[in-house]
Amino acid sequence: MKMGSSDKTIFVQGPYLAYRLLLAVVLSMALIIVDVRYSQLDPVRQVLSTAITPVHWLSDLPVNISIGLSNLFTSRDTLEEELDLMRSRMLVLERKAQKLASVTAELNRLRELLNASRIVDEGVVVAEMIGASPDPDNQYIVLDKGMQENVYLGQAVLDSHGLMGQVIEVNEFTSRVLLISDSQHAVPVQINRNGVRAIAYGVGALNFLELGNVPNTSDIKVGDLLVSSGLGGRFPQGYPVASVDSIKHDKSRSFAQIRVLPEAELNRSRLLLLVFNKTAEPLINPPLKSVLNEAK
Amino acid sequence: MAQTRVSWLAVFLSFLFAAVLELLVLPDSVLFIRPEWLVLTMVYWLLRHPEKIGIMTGCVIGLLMDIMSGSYLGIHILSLSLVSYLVLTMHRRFKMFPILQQSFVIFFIVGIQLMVVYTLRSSLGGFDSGLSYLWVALSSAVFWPIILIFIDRLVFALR
Repeated sequence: MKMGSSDKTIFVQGPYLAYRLLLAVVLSMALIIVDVRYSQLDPVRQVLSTAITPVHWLSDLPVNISIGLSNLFTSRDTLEEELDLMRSRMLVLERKAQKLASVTAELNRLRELLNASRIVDEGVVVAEMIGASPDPDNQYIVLDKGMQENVYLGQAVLDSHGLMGQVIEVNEFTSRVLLISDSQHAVPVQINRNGVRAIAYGVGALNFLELGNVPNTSDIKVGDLLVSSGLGGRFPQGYPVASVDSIKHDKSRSFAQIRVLPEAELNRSRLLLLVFNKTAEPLINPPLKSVLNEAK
Repeated sequence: MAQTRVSWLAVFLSFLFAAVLELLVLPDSVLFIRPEWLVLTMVYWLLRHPEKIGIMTGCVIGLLMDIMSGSYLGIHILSLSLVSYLVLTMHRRFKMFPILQQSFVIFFIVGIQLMVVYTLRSSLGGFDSGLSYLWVALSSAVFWPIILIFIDRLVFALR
């Protein structure tokens, strides 16, 4: 052991170490306050998040390799079987889609009679999940589409079964999606059967959500499907969100305790859909403002 | 551990590896005992090169963790600079400890780091998850000898 070098370590750190810690603590406190209160740090976060994209790719590599390997070793028979299954499934879905087109057209004609705005079909882009939150208390996932694909803040994300969440951070090549199960998330929903509105809160568990502020007397049953109501303007209307799992009526509370199961496979889906919401324009009624302007 | 030149390549590679491990998608059943790989790697380098790696490096790694976890910027910077301070004040004694005692100390260091992070997060409106972080501290302590051997090998291979 060389004495010289070890002596130096004492002098380098000794008296200054506490001051350095103090400086770091003060700086990080300032950083936290600025980040909580203001949005000036968002561009910094965006640049740094883009810089660590390769780390996300690397951590997704084992999954990709295992998928690739299992594809490589799948026999021809299984593949053909799968193909047949998909073909028949596609036929069934196409038949449904045919009906949907005529139903949508009819619905729009009826809405025209009511002077309501036309229902527009949203466009979607398929995205792949490349990362999930390493922390069970913060529920988000990372997608492989970002600014390059025109992903925007607040965009709704679906899987093949229902609503997954919304985009909360857009970077150059990736984006971060807050899941509907996160404890800071809430979705406005309505019961598909009768249109009763409610709000589904995430509670931090991946397998269930809770409905808040539903009166004990409201008409809601176990098994009811909840779809997004479109209120609040964040999520498109009519996508399945959850189904009612259990209802507890506690006389001592003013609201029923309702537990719902998310329709989307929050912890399993890998291929997701980003919904591009085209704004619905009013059909017959022009906005009141322009009418008034013309009258002048 | 004689004082030698810092192999910055080994530092970079070990932190990259830890970051990849940190982001690895794991099933929910084991997610709550995922060790704090980056903190363990940080402690390793603080012990090995206390003259070069210090609170500044802690701040940089903290910033990386803030970005990766999507938390408010500064939370992990604060906690990692605290870890750096704690380890640097006792690195001479720490190196003398037998491996089991080292793991024991790691449990407290990671526990303190997580306590800072969770307290700040829940006071800023996040989700309060009680004392579940103690599991993470425990698994970090269990993985400490493995980290030690692994990065030692890495340094040796890159020499």
